[in-house]
Amino acid sequence: MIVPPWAGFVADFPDDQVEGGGDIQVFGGRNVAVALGEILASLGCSRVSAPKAAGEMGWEFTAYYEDRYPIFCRLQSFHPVFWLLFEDSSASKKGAVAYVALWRKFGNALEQDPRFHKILWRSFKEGPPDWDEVEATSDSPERAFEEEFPPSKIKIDKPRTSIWPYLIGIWLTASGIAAPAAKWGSSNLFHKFGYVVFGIILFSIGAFFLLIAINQNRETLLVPWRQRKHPKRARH
Amino acid sequence: MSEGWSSQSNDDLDDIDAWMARRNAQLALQPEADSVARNLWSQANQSGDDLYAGNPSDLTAIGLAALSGAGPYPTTAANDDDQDLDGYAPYPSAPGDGAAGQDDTEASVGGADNRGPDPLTAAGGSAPQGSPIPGTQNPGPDPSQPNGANDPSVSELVVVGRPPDQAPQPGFFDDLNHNPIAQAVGGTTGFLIGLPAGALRGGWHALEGVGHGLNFVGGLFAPGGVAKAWNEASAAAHDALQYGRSAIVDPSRLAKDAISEGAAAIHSLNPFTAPQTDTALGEFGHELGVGANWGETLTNIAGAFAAPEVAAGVDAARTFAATRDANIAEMMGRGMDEPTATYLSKPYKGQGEHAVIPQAQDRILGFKTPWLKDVTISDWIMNSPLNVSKPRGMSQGDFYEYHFGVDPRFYGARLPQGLNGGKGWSGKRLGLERYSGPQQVWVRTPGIYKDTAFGVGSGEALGLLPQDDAEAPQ
Repeated sequence: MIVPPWAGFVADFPDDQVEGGGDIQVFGGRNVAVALGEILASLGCSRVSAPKAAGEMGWEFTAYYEDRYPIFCRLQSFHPVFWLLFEDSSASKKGAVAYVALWRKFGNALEQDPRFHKILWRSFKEGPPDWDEVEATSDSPERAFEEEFPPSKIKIDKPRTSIWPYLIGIWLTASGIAAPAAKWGSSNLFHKFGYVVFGIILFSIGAFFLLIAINQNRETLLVPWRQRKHPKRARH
Repeated sequence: MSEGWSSQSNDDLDDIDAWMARRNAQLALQPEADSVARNLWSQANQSGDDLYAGNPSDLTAIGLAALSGAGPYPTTAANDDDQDLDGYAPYPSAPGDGAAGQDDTEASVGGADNRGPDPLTAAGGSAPQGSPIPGTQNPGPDPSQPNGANDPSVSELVVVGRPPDQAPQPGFFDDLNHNPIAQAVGGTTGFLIGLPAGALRGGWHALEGVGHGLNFVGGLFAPGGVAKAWNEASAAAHDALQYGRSAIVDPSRLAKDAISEGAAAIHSLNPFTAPQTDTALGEFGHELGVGANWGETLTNIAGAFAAPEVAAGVDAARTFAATRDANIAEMMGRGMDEPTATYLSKPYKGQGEHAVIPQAQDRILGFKTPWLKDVTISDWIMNSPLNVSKPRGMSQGDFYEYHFGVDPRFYGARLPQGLNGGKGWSGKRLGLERYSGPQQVWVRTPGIYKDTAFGVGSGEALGLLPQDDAEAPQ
């Protein structure tokens, strides 16, 4: 199985939700998000951002493992039950390896932390565990984290390269070049100008998609090039 | 062989001395002749006149003929069968031209533009392509003759304009350009590449339509504008009435016009009814135009798809208060208690769904983009209608259902204390299902893009429909 990124747990934190006029003014969970960020920092993460309000989706923050692999966290409060989404944002194979290592450390740390109980991990497809399921879980689980998720059981989820950014990028850049070129012979200057503007717009959007496409494969496309150019810098 | 060595007209071929004297004179004139010919060549290039000099000796021949006073540049045609060159009259005869014998030729001069039919075909000759010498004439002296005696003279060359049907030199790219498979690929590529440009053109035409409308309205406020507008409206009304009268007289005209318009539309969109070109590049250019027409049409169709959704959203926003009780009853029918149903039936005032770039800034349109995290994107862009999807006229509960349908990372939301037995709202508990594929893309698309598609499809302007909270039901 690949890393289950959803977790549901009970946390011994005060409810920090702000309500007024029968409505929710500030969604709860910020205090727990801060605590989770501190745990990640203790596990070697850097640049742990302050939690940012995401409306009904709770609080979000990012951290960088080994100073280069981004991890995304979202915490939703249903006090005293919380949902956590712990996702790899790196889009690279090395990032995926680092993510698995961090996830293992984090799972163990969460289990060891006395403020968190009844921790259940779920796959992306399953989604977070239901509140009733979390609350019904025993405080002392039958199996420890390492027993439930031994290293041999967890596989690395290699980032999948999507062909769509390439197709869209090539399509739009080609259109951005060919459309004005085909109309360049027009004697109508206004017509010609219009197609040049269309061309610039299409080319820009296409180039942007190509950038996204290349970014997907930067380990195979860009990193080897960087290693050839700056071998020392690429090692860091 | 010697017959083919036709000398200047009227000369006796047997008179070697005379021939030698003339050849010497020509050789003495060669530098000057070359210079004159180069000037003529340059002029012909600038004016676009046809002037053919496939070999260096052709250039000398042209110059010699010009120096002899024959005209701007010479054209010499063989006439082995003593026929006059019909249709070749614009070319005056060279000096000394007269009784053309078996091996005689006529040296004619004149501009290529005013010459008649191709002298080669007019003379009944068949020249090999790319050669200035017609097939009916002896190809020339053996180059191995000593003392240059076999050098060609003016009368021995046929200097004609470039044959208009001269085939290009065969080569890889030429073969590729005429290859049927390359033509098909070129046409398909052109069609696909034309689509996005056509979509933009559709937007541009919609704006033009709005601009014309605004011009008309603005003109009403200009001095004499009302009278002018009245005249335009009257003229349009007159045309419409005229058409109506003719349609009454001949009702079949309506059908004919409809068929004609439909045929024109099909012609502009069907890549197979239009005349095909015989090159890949020609196909590419042709299909580019057809693709652009399709792009514009598809944009209008997207507008037609958006129209009901936009209309329903506007209607929901307008009738929100009136339908709220019914919504509460509907939610209670699904098992919710009244306070929860009342809360969820309130107008949604949240952040909306960040459809293009999520707040995590780790992807665009669902594609992971880690470097985006390092880019500072201001809140007004992140939370603008360009990035956030927040359909009109939705209640809190409606939006949660919508959000669950389009966002695979959204499973539920918390409710105020005391509602739903202290539990939150859960899409899974309600048994909701998510959108997938193109439907998810369409539903998730922020309203401003759908409004734009609707505007393009209906000729409305961009952003005329309100997007801010002011339209939200209170």
